Amino acid sequence: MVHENAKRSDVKRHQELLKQKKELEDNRPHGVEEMRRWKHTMGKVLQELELFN
Amino acid sequence: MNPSDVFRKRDLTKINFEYEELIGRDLSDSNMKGAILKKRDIHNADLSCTDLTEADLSDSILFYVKLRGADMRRINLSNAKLWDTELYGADLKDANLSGADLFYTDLRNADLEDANLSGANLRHANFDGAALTSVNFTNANYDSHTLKTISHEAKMELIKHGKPW
Repeated sequence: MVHENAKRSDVKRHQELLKQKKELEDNRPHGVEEMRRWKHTMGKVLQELELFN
Repeated sequence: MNPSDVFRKRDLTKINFEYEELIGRDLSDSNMKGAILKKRDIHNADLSCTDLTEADLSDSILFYVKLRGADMRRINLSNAKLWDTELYGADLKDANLSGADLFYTDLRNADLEDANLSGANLRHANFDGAALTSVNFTNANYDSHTLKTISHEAKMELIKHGKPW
């Protein structure tokens, strides 16, 4: 039961991250500072997504 | 004519770019062979199909720059920041990209034969269909996405010489 819940929570988090990644891809900024922030946020999302691979 | 278009389709080999603002400018289809743009910020510019052979863009900021189909043979892009840059079909033979940050860069169908990618950040770069013969991947940083987009032989080289992130 505990294992099942953990698995469901993992799936949910994975879906959240994929959604966040898509949102970032669809909203690319054009200014330098915004771009730095975009890279930082995207980097964090990708880092966590790597754990699911 | 849009003021930002004055450099389009021009021979710019004799231009001194030192005092020119190049952010967001349209420099597409131009001849910029051997141009010196070291440490320059030219983010958002359009350099599609431009001749940049032997140009020096080391340490430059090239976020979101369009370089689709550009001739970039023997270009120096060492330590340049090329985040989310469009390099689709670019000719990067013998290019120096050592230490460059190619995060999220589109390198589909680019020719990188003999290019130096040592110490480069290749996280989430897309190499689908790119020619990667004799590329130097020493200490290049990669993630699972990078590996998914490159050919088997190049993948072996990257795993052998690069660093997983």
